[in-house]
Amino acid sequence: MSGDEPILSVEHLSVVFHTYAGVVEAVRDVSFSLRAGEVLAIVGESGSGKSVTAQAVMGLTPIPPGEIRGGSATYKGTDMVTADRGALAQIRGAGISMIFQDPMTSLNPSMQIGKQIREVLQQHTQISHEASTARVIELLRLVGIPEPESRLVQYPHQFSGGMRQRIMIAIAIANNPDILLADEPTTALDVTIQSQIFRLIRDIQKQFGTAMILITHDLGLVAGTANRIAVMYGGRIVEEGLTEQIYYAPEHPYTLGLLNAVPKLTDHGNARLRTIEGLPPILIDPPGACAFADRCPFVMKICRQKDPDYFTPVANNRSACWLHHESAGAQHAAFIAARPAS
Amino acid sequence: MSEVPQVELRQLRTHFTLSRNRVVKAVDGVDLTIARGETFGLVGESGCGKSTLGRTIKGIYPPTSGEVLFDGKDTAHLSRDERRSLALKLQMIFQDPYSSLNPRMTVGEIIGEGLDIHHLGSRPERDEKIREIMSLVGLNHEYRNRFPHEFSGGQRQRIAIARALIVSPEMIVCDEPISALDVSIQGQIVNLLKDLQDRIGLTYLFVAHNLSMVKYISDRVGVMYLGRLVEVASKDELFSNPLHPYTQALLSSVPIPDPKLEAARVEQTPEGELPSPIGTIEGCAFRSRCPFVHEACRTMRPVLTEAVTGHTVMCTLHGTPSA
Repeated sequence: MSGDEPILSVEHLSVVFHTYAGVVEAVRDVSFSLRAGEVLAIVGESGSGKSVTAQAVMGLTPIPPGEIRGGSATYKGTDMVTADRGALAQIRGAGISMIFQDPMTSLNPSMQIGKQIREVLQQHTQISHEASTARVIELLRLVGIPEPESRLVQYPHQFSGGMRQRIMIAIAIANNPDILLADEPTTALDVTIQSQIFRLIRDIQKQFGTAMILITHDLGLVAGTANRIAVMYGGRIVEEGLTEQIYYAPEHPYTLGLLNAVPKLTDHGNARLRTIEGLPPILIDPPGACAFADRCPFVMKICRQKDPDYFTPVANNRSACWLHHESAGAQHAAFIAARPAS
Repeated sequence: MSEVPQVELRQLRTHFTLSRNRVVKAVDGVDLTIARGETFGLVGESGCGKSTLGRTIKGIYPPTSGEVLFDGKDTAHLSRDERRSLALKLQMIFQDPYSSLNPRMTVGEIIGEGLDIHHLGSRPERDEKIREIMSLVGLNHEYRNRFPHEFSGGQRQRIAIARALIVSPEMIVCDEPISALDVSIQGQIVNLLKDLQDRIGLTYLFVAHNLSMVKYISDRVGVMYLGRLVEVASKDELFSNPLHPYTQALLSSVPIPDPKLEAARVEQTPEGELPSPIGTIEGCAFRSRCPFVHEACRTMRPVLTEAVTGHTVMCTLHGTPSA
């Protein structure tokens, strides 16, 4: 890793939600950092806390029922978690922009798309009407909307899902943000459109050097885009490492399970799919033990007694798993043997 | 395959009329045979008509023209008893396990409803059957008095599978049964479907957009585009030797969960998107996005032609279309 100062650093973030059923500990002591120009993927299933983490970073946690129990998310000296509305409004859309999952619900259905993009521009800069129109057309062309001059007066329903997501991206990059936060940007889209959108995101990232946080449930999507990957489970980052290490030599049994659960197009034969048995944990009063213990094929006694700290089994990696403790011995060897041969 | 196929479609068309001049040709002339005990995977982008095709086979939508043959019999001309028996033999599982289960019924009631409707078995026999089926799909029988909201997505999909299985069907139409589930749960459901097939000899029509999962579960795979079945082959043949430009594009757009292979992947993703299915399309449906488009594609509608043994494709580049 380079010695650059991180552009965003999240430290010991804990977010809970108060529900009738009890207090859900959605994000538990999450720390990570993002350097300028870097792409970090946060991968996890529903309920793992990945979207709640993103919300907190944007200062969008709904309070109540949400509550920030502790921690910080610092962008250029501002803690997004505690900043007031004015400071957040300055940063959102200009310093950090977000692309949401569902472009139908995140665009205003009764406003022309040109106007929606212009709104974001005018919020952060003094810009004349003519100049902003020129910039809107430039942005629409950049994200691949054909005939932008005539389409900027159209409404969201006149665009397809893929085109709407392109418009969302145009809005997100309108003010050249330092960080783009994309929460499942292609989940609602078809595979050919998904591929087009990912290509667009990669192009923008390369062209402008924007740092990105890419949130997804599908480890299959980010192999070609991410520099680093953080895997979340049960509200914690259970493993973080460089992309190749995560795919070729995962250091956490959950990461290995996720990799095995996805069949590849290049696979042949009819070998049974290896799944992760059991169900994700319920985060109401989580036990002070490893959340993955009940589903882990390599579970040991200690796993049910104490939540593991981070170990550093290889350089640039951290893994919250007791298998990396020196006393794990044979179980650790069994885990290493179960990893795909590279 | 000398025996009577499970399902045979002959020039099946399902059209929806929006207004006088606007007709959505969701399924537009599909010929297909699915053998007994086979898993046929159906893939394509949203709006291509794959779900409508599944629902037309199940009889949810009446075909506009053409025939659906089940066990060799035209389903449009059945006696009352035969219709009743077809309703049992052909079951369906839906995509969304949240909206496809009645929230006011207990799990036991949901699973046993088919038996009640068709007056199958006495009360104790029904209870025994529910117990048996729940254990078959991996649900704890003690949960029979709980309601759907108490279960996770994967468990609800197991309930839906149990509901389909209890009437001893021969075939299940699975309409995107795993799309709404988490990655780690998808594999569990797919493995369950495979196990059940091995034990009971079920036939599946597996409709999905996740190509990797379709390849994993299917024996043969068909690709749909704008209401037409444009390519059909055994899964290994289709994925190793795709002939239709659309299939090639579709396969090349699938991201590979492997950084080195992913970096080497050459995308031929078609530009643009699925055209509107409203109205009549002259010639080939894919020509507006096809990189190999030529004159014949504009004028002639290609027909499904066997290019390699057991591998049919609807493209003017392969085989001669009949005028």
